[in-house]
Amino acid sequence: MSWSLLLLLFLLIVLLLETPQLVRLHSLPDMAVFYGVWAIAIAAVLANMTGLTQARPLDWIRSFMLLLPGGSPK
Amino acid sequence: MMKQTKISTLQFTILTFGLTVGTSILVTPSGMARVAREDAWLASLCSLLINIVMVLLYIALSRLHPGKSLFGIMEMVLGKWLGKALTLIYLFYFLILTGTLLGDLGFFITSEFMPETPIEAIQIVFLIAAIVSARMGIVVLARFGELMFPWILLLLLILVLTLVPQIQWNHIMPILEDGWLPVLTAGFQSAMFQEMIVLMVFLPLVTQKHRGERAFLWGTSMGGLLLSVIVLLSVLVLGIEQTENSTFPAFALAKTINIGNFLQRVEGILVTIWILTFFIKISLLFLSLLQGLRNVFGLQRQNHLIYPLAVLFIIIAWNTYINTVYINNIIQQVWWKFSFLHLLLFPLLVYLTAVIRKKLVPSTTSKSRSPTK
Repeated sequence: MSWSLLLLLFLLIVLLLETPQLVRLHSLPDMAVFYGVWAIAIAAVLANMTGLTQARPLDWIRSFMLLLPGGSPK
Repeated sequence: MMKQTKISTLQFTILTFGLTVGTSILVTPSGMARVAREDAWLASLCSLLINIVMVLLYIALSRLHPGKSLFGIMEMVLGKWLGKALTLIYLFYFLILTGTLLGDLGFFITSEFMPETPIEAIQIVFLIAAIVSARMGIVVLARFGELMFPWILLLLLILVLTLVPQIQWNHIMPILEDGWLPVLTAGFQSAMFQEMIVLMVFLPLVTQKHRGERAFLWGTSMGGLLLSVIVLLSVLVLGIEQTENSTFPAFALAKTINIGNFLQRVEGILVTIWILTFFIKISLLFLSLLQGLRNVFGLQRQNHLIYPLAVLFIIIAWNTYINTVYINNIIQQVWWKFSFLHLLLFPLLVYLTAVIRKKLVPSTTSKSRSPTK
C-alpha cells in the first residue's frame, strides 16, 4: 500500500471540503494561506513519492548552519 | 455561550511540565552520558539551570509587552515586516520540530515496542490524535493535561521507587574527573532540546499574569528535576556504557525493573508517561504553528490549515528519520546549534532591541503598552 497515495487522496478530500467553507468566509488571506499550505503539502507528498533526496529539511538546516560562524561540525 | 480562551496557572504548569519532559525523558540520558560520562547527572542539573535562565529571559521579554504572545512581541519590537519575517522563521522551526518528533515516536514504537507494525500507521494514528487536539484548542488540551497529571505522577513514583533497589553508587564515581567543561557542554546541549519558547505563545492566556510567570518557572523546574532524576537513575542502574550506547536508555532502564521476580516487564509505565507528555508537546507545537500563521497573515480562522499541516508533519517525519546514523549525526552536530538560535540568540536580541527602544523612545513604548490584546 502506498502511504503517499493515501495522503494525496486525503489532501484532495480536504480541498473539496474546505473550499466551500472558505468561499463563505469571504476572506482573501484565509483562502490564500490555505491554498499556499495545501500546495506545499501536495508538493511535499509528490517529492516524497518520487524519492527526491533534496526534500530533506534537516539537510537544509545542516547546509544553513554550515554558513554560520561556528556552525561546522568539529 | 462565550467560548473560554483562558487557562489556569495549574494547567499552564502542567503544560510546561509536559513540554519539558516530552521526548527528552527517553533520549536525554544517552546524549548526556556520551559527553559528561559519570557526571551526566550534574549536566542535567546544569541543563535545568540554563532552562530556568532562558525562561527568566522569556518572562522579562513578556513583561516589556504584557498580554502579547511571542509573535505579537516580535512584531511590536522589530516592526511589522521584520517581526513577521522572524515569526516565519520560528514557524519553520516549529514545523520541522513537530515532524521530527513524530518521526521519533514512530522510530521508538517500531524499534522497541511494535516491530511488526508499519511506522507510517503508528505515526498516522498519533497524528489523528494531534489533529483532534488542535481542533479542540488550547483549553481542552490544558484540561486533558490536568486530568492526566496525577496519573503521570503516580506512574513516575512507581518507576522511581521500583528502580531504587538496583542502584549502584559506584557507577557515578569518580565525580568531576574531567572537570566542569564536559558537564557544562552536555548541560548546554541538552537545554537546547526543551523548547520552552513555545509556551510564550500561550503565556498571555493564563488568567493571572504574575502567577502565570511563576507557573512557567515551576513547570520548567519540575520537568527539569524529573529529567535529572531519570538521568541519575540511568547512570546509577545501567552504568555509563549501557546508558551511552542505548538509543533509548530510559526504556532500557525501565526494562531492568524486577522486584522479587514478581513485578517485572513494567516498561509500559515509561511508555505511557512518555506518550502522554509527548502528546502535550506535539499538540502545543501544532497549536502554536496555527496561532503563528493566524498572526502573520491576519487570518479569521485557523482550523482549515490543520489538515494540510498534518500532512506536512508526516512527510517531514518520513524524511528526517531515514536511519539512526543520519538522525544521530544531525542531532549531535547540527540541531542543538539551530535550536540555540531560536531559543536563546533571537529572544536575547529581541529583548535587547526592546530595552534599547524603550530607553530611546519612552513615549512610543508607553503608548504601545496600553492596549494589551
